[in-house]
Amino acid sequence: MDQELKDFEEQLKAHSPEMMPEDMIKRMASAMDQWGEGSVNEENIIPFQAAQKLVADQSPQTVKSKLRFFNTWAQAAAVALVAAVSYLMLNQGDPSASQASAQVTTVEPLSQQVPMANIESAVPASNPQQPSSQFSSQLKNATQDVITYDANGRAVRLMQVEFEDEVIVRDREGNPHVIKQPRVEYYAVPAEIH
Amino acid sequence: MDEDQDSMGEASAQNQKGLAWESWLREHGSKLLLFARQQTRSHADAEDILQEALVKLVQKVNDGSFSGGQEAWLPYLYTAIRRNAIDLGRKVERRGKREEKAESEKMHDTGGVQDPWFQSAEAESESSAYIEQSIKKLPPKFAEVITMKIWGERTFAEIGEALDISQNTAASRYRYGLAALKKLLDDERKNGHLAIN
Repeated sequence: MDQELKDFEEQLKAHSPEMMPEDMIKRMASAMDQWGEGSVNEENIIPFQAAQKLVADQSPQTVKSKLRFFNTWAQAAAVALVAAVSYLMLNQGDPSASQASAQVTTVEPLSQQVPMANIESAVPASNPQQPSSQFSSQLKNATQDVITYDANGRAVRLMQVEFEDEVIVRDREGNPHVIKQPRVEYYAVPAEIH
Repeated sequence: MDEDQDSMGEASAQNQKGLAWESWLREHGSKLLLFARQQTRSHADAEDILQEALVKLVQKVNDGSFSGGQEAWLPYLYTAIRRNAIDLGRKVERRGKREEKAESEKMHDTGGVQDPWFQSAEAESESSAYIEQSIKKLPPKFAEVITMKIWGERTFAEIGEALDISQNTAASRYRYGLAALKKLLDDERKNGHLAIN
């Protein structure tokens, strides 16, 4: 490098960089301290109380949705209950009925009207003093051997699905009675025809 | 009682460490800030990339992954600042143009004295401003080598490593850059703006 450039270089060196402002020094040092120790800025931590409060605020809606669900099952249980009550009323005083309390009892679909007065003396299946889940439904069988056509001419496969609904009812003595009722439903599933 | 003494001791150690960082920044911060300003379009971006580089250094030193002693801090920081500037440039291309315009408008409004790059007595403030403007007019590959060599006091080997170029290329860019900068400033001197001969 020639002398002219060397002189120019020295003149440039005479102009020192602007000093780092004091507030910037403190900010930088603080950042270096904070990140160097791996500490966490607690201001950025959101406590879980807010989330818990949110859940608590939503609980009435959750209860409400559960009630809607319960109502559906309550309706189904009421139908089974009527069938069970009619069975008990018809077999009241029959010694063999108490012996069958531990056995599975199959009840035919409801075929006659049951006097409403008889229901008052029965213990409902949804008694809160009794264990829950008194009503259940199980898939027993499914077949899909039939292909037919819908109104639009599309091929559909008919599925026959057999369920067994089960309800537990208790008589006046608190003895449980399991009542099972078969149910058949049909579903139309679009079929692929090659 | 013991817990209070422990926490006080810990706070004292933290305070000592903080003061050590401040002391180190007072000695070396200005040259790092100048390089960060040269690498970015705004003062705010310069501060961001410098802080990011400093934090990375501290993390590496504390977790034991930094190779070299304290003498290796500055070369590492120049490399980190440049890398951060490149990443920032890719991310904020469009925002950078708006901020560049805002910066130039701010410079026009304040006569170039806002956030100056160089210290200067009142008589030399205009010279410093023209040096700053001329460096900004240079191609970046010359400006960064000049900034690191003259005010960063880096060797050509360290410059080459930071910029991922050979030592000879760094020296070559420095000579060409210096000549280009001198020509720009000679033009200003002819116009009577500069105290540099």
